[in-house]
Amino acid sequence: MTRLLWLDYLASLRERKTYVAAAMLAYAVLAIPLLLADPPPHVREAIAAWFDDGDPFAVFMFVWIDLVMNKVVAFIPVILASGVVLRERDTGVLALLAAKPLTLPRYFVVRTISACAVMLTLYAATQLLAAAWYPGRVAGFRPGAFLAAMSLHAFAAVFATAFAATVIVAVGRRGAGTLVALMLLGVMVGLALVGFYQPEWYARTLANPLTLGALAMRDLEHVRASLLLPPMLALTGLTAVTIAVGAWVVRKVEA
Amino acid sequence: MTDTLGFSGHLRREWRFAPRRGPIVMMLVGVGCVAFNHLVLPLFPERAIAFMRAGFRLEDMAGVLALNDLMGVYFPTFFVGLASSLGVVLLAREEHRLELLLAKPVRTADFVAARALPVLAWTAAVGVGISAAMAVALALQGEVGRSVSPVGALGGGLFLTALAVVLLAALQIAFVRIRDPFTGLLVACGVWLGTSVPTAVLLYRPDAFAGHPVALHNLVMPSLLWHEATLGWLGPLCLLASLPLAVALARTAGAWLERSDAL
Amino acid sequence: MSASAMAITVEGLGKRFGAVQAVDDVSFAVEPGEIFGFMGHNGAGKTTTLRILLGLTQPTRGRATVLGHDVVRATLDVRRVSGYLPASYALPPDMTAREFLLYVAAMFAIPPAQARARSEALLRRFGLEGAADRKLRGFSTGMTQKVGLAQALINEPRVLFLDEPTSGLDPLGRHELLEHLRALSQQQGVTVVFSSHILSDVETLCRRVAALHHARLIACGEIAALKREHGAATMDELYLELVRRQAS
Repeated sequence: MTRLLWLDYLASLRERKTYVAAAMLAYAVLAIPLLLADPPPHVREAIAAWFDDGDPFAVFMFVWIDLVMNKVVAFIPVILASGVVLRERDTGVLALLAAKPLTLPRYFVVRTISACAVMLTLYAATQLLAAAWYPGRVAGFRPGAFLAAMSLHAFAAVFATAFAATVIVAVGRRGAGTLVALMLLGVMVGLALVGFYQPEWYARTLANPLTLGALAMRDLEHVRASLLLPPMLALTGLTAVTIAVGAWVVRKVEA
Repeated sequence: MTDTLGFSGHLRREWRFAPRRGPIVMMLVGVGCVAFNHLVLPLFPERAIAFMRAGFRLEDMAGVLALNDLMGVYFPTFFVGLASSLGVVLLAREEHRLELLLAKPVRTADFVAARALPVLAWTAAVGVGISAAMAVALALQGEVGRSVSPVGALGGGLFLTALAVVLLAALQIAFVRIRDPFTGLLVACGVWLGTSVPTAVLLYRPDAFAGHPVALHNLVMPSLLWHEATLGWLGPLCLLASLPLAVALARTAGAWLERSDAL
Repeated sequence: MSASAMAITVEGLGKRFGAVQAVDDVSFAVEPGEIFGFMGHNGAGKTTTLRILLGLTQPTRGRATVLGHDVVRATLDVRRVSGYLPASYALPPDMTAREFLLYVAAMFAIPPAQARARSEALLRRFGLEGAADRKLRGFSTGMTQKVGLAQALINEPRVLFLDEPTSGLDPLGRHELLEHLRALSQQQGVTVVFSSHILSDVETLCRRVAALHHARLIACGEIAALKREHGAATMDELYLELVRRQAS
């Protein structure tokens, strides 16, 4: 299964959609310093108040997570995962693959983990490019804290990919499933940082996996393992459960 | 010998088979988003509201609510239309249905336009429904301010609906040349995000618009609220104009498909 | 030959889809290493029977085994020793032929070096070396069918299920395919279940056949004996006679 996963991952990496996604991410990395060159006072003040941090790095991290990576997490996972099993079924490839000694649930698991791995690759490359490009270009940029904070958010990106694959398979039709996954992830993204704006709702927003991915924003001065590990574990568990649900649901798909 | 159907005949046939459930569900979701905005946003702390007001140059809470509602119009309208639009050429080709259908006595331009138009009409219906809900919500919450009238908000929503319809029709031209539906989906997401970028620039780099009032007033979403009186009549007009424009774009896509080896 | 020595046994197999009886009380057995013909009109139940034998569809009654493995309880064991070429399928457009064969090999957990060797051998065998690194998107029907057959052979199956494998092929492609199948059976002892409504292909390749009509088995045995029994000179005559007799 590891070999199959590896081949599937390589094949997915070589697909045109992966290149297009990579180009969009590279564009985002290059555009952000321009966007953040001179944030107006009301933005600086509001972000300083929400995160109790007047450092320009907090402004950058807010914009990077809220404006860039959360949007990425709402769109790219859906595109990477929307073909899992259903595309093979709709095009007739599943007629060949279903006759191999691999159950459909296991095949779903392989394809979903492969999509998650592609997402993680794109995600990690984006953060590494940003960490190399931003020092000196973004005020107060701290590569160590940035990579640590984004390593947590990467777990949310992986979750989003597994979530999209499961939702689309559960819906059973590619177009409609993609739409539902986009909507659900859009709602999660829209509400991801609400707990920071309205502290009374903070505890409730922790039920949102994308909020868990942004928890490093709580204390950017001291991003440490005790801050990152619990949400990482929670997101790993949620991802595993989501894939398991998808593997259960996929049994209804007819080859 | 069989007769050849005219465009209206093809359109009637496609209309019968156009996806309906998705748009209706999405319209309800959009209406739910509007209700959610109007119930939850007023509970936000003053600082968060002030941030949005200052960032998007809105006068009062009515402006903040209307701007969030406009997003609630644009996102579901565009994406429900996109989900159905993928089936016009891209998915049909991938699932080997396109050549089957195009082998019939139908001009490719008519075929693509006839398949696209019901999808776009349902897209427009979703936008109109959510825009109407937005206007009703603002009318019911008079205490939130007077900077945006219900009619102006409705006009803004209809303008965004028209934009979504035209963008989706234009995307058919790109879809003719794209073989992979996922690449098509990604390009479409890029287009949607691209139309939202100027609004983000307004929030974080308002100085970028200094000296460029035409760009400011034509590209950022809050300008639909700054000019709400004009949008009251311009929005419906744009929506009416968008449908023939969308048909023309879909026909262009069909003509291009006919000339290319895109099958 | 005793039932336990048979490559495939099918006993009272039935499958109902709602109101439609797709397979009704079908029984037959296939000897190891033989090419067994499976004939019948479109919708007779051939594909459903093959899908049941591969565990892709659950029977509503009866039982079947492939090399001693129960098709319901040991589905994956059946698939491990089987190759399958469905009647209707597509290849992943973004993969090359070589990548696809390696991908399918990984589904059988074949070690990478062995998978590479087998895929190269199959590419050579089907004359696909020149196109091995081209995307499958642009393959012709004949080339697609060759890749389809190659993927069915990647695990060196002991039983091969082929559903209408010659439809869509030109006469040369058809001749080559039939030769490949004959070689597989004679040289490697592979059992082949050859489902087709092209009766000349069945006659060319098979010694024994089963004929399905409206979900029911109407005849099973050696072609020569069936022809004698029904006074038929050709396969077409034999099939028509079987169907007529069934109708009356």
